[in-house]
Amino acid sequence: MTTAADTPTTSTVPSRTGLVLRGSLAAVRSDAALVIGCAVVLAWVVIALTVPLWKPFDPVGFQDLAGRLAPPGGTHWFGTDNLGRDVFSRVMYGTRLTLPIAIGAVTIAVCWGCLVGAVAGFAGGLVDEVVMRLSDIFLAFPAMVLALAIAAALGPSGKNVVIAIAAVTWPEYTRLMRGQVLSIRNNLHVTAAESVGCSRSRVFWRHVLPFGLPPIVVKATVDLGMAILLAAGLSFIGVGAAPPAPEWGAMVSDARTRMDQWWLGLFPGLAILSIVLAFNFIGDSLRDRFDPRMRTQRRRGGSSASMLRRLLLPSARKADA
Amino acid sequence: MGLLRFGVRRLLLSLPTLFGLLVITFLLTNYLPGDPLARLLGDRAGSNPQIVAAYRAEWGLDRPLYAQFATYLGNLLTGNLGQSTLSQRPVAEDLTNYLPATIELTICAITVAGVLGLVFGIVAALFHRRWPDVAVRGLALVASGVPVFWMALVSLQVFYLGLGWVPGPEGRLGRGVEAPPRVTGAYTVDALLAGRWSVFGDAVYHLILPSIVLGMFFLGLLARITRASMLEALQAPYVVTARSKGISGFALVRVHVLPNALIPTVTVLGLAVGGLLSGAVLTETTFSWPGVGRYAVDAARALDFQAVLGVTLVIGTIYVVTNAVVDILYAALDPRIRLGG
Repeated sequence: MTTAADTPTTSTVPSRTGLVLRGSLAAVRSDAALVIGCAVVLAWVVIALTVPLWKPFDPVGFQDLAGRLAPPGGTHWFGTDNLGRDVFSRVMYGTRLTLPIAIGAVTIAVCWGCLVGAVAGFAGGLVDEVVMRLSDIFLAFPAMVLALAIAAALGPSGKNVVIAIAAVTWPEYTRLMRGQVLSIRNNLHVTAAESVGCSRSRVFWRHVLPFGLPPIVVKATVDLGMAILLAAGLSFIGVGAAPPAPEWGAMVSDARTRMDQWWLGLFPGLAILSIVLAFNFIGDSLRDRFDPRMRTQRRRGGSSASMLRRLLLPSARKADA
Repeated sequence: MGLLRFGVRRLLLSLPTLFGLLVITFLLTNYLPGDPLARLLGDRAGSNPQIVAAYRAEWGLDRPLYAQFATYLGNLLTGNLGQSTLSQRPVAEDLTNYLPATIELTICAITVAGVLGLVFGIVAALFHRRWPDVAVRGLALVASGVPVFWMALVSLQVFYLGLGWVPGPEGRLGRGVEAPPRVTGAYTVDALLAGRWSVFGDAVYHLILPSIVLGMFFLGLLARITRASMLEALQAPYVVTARSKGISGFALVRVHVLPNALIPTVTVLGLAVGGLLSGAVLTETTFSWPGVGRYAVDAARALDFQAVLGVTLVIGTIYVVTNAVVDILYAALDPRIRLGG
């Protein structure tokens, strides 16, 4: 009773986490896009975690050849495929492949990319130059083309899809993190920390990283959707998760030869679309939350092009600089 | 900085990137664990060390990596991209066969999506917060998240199977239609040059759906950028001034709003090319379109690394050069970029 009342420090100067939390709560209250996005993602996560408990049919083992290629109906909500497998169960199970792949790939890309970017930003000079040129080269490939080459060379498996996607996305985090380090390290609070003798790693972890994180979180959220698209695309062309697995892209690929059976491809595609859009929703809302400056730019309009350009096109940054 | 100097500097800046691109693809296809020989020769021949050694010697795979790379670079300068193990033809020959189909498709996609995207974006801005605006924003939203290979399938089901408006996934021409004599490799252009109108019509007929599907993401992106850009221009002081002087309607938009609003849209062209080339890999497979995208997919599946290397190199080069050109174009349109540079 007393403890809650007499802690004025926490109420007047809320902790960083407190601020973020409060901001998030306010966001949820006011931002429909964020609510919808979170709800859809949450629904898919719950499905991924619980589907073995309530699955209508086994996604691979259940094969009813007599009832193959049945249109959607009472027993098989999304119909059955050419082996008589239940499409609904396969779509639901697909989450268990797709979500870990996307989360794994983005996690690796964020950790590795940010580490390299931070090192480049702090070291400067030759190290910085080498890292930046290297990331230029990786960004010089259209993502799908490089991912295809890597995934094909490594062989078809979920793990290799993770590696391929991480390999094509890390440089963007490197650039982002480097930029953050360069802009934040000259801030007064960092100079203060350095002048009282904080070690470089402490300066980074305590004084630079927390302030540099927001745009990275935003990008990572949107990239979860992009990673799902890439992973599904790789499976679609046959260099992703191996065939019997209920992977959404592979299911759409199978549906190509049976176009009359529209339910084969429709539902896995809708699953991809729903979760990618959900991540886009969340990413856009977070961007508005974290960076009011960007929001006003977006509201005013035109600068969104140059913002997008700078975010996505390495060459533009160079030419602008 | 003068535009010429800016342009030259920008082009020179892409040279190291191009070289690095070459090194990365080369290392990639050599160091990664997938063994092209094992797959190519099959289990029995692949397990016979003599056959493997002979094969490696024939293809120069037994020499040190830097020597292979040096040979590759030398060959490259003479236009030799190596031999495709899948098609048993020179990669350069395969690429000249398949590249025009991809370029034709990509240009059509950019054109269709570019025109529609601009129109949609302008309409959305002029009807800000009314139903056309909502519709365009909805379309842009879906376009940003839709898997292109799925849209290819669904659109075929609707417009080919359902409505019969477009041809099925049978490639660039209908059955029994003879390809025009090759000049550029783009069937539409070649057919016109040969004066064969029916072939031209058939080629266009086969281009429509793949172009729209491939360009959909660009359409959405462009509509969104154009809309935002227009909204900003509509509020700019010079437009307010023009309005207060009594200019309104079409003249206002055409003379005062559009020229300034369109500049930022140029920048997404560079992005679009990357996305379109990525998309081509997926779209061409679905539409049986005989371009480099489908060639890359077939080659990657067969671990035909010379072919993958060739395609990656060509696509990477196209991408790097386009981005440089877009940057220069942008600087030409907006002098502030040059002055700041």
